[in-house]
Amino acid sequence: MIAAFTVIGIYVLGTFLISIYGHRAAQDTPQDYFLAGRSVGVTAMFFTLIATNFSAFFFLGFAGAGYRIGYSYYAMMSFSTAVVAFSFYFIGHKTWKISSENNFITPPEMIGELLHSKWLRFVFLSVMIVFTLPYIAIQPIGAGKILYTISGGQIPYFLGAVLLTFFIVFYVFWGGMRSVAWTDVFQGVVMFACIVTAMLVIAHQFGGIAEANRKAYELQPELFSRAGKGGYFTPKIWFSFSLLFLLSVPMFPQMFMRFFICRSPKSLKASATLYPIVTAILFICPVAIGVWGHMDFPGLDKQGSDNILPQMLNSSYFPSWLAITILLGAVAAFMSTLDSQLLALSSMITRDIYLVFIKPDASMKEQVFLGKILVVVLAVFGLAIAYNPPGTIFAIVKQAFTGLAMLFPTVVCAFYWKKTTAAACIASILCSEGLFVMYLFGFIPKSYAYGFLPVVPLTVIGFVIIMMVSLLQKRTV
Amino acid sequence: MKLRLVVVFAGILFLSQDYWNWSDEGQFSILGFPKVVTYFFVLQLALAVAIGLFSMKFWQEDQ
Repeated sequence: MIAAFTVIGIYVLGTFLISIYGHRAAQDTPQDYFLAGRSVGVTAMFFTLIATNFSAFFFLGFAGAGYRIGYSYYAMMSFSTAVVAFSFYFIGHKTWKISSENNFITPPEMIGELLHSKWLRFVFLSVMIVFTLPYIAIQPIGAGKILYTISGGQIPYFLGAVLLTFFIVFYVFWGGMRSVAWTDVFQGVVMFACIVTAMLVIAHQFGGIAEANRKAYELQPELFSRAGKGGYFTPKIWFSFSLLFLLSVPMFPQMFMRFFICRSPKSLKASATLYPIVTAILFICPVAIGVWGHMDFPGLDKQGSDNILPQMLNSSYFPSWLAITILLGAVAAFMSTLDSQLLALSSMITRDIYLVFIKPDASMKEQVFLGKILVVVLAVFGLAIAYNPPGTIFAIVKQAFTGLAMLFPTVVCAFYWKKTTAAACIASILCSEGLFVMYLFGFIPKSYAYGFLPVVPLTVIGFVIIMMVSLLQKRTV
Repeated sequence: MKLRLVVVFAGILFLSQDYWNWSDEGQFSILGFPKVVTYFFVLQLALAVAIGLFSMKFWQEDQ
């Protein structure tokens, strides 16, 4: 218990000291509070992109999937995530250029202003909020559970969720994006060091990586197949996942806003090159731990397998201080995602609702103040839901990737096709989201996706609608 | 530069073809990981090289 509190204390102190930097450099302007004055350099940009994108699911969910599906999950997730690096160029660079030239602060603001439509801005914003807000509730649930495990049950689940969430609120409120970006560097390093250490220690206990794999292969040869256990990863599903991540990850508001904050495109270039290397190395670790879990904990169900990483850490391989330190990596992953989500949502509500529909002449100081208040309000809202989460929250989170990917055709056409109209984009977003909901509720047969995930046909439909409506409007005019 | 890019992408395509045709899942390679891991590890390093080359040559600061 003393070890647990010491490790947690050191981690919290480290994060706090770094956040002081953000506070000292902060100014009372929306550009500074929400975007760190567009001054984020190469190192911070790289880590903040990684740490924001890799949530606690990277630790716990990947290990569970490794247990159930096998090494094919590594191949699918790491490659599909690596492909996201392309979006740093064709979405990220364009976003950086347009937003810095026009002083845009949020993605809906940029898209709405590019096509001169406050209704497109509102529709774009609504989709982003619907699919991001549930995450604000989901993240504290995970954090509370991890803290409960770390403390050996001494810190109750909900108290842990409250403590960690309010620590995040404190440094986001205090230092805005500067604090978030620099704590992301620290949290990213902690996260990576922890997961690599965990894999190496566990492998050592089994006689090395090769020996661990050989033993696991004898038990579960299917876990080493290309298609994974049960043969789920067919070429069409592979293609679908690669497309899904490429289209959806840059549409998450916390990721999209990362393209606004860099000092120069050099940061994006370096991040794009390093991103596939990081996914190649890091994603092996939790998946391998999951596969090796069969040797000590055979026959786990879905819920049990999602807990395989903490179970392996709590086994005899690790001294308690090391197990706690490694689980802290999952806490760091959770914090680095939630802080960015809180800031992204607060900036969008301030700029795209308050400034557009309520008080267009709000001063810069007023916008920053409202943004800070919203960080607190959103965190309390998330905790209130986390106290007794309804099933719909999990259902929305599960579909968030596809839901957000439906914004992709609008962004690409707004950037690269001069004939694009706002009405066409609104029609594209509403139709593809509507079709997606009908698909989920069974009104559209699954066979209509031809073996792909729904994101593939829906994206094609989204692009076709934009092109047809835009051309029709131009012809009518 | 263009030739190097073509070589890298051709390499990726060649490895992709190899991946879908291969059936010896039980074999282990680099560091004792199975081939499914090794293949994608190499593929992603190739992807990083390709993106690095691309950004050096075609990604202009003022685009």
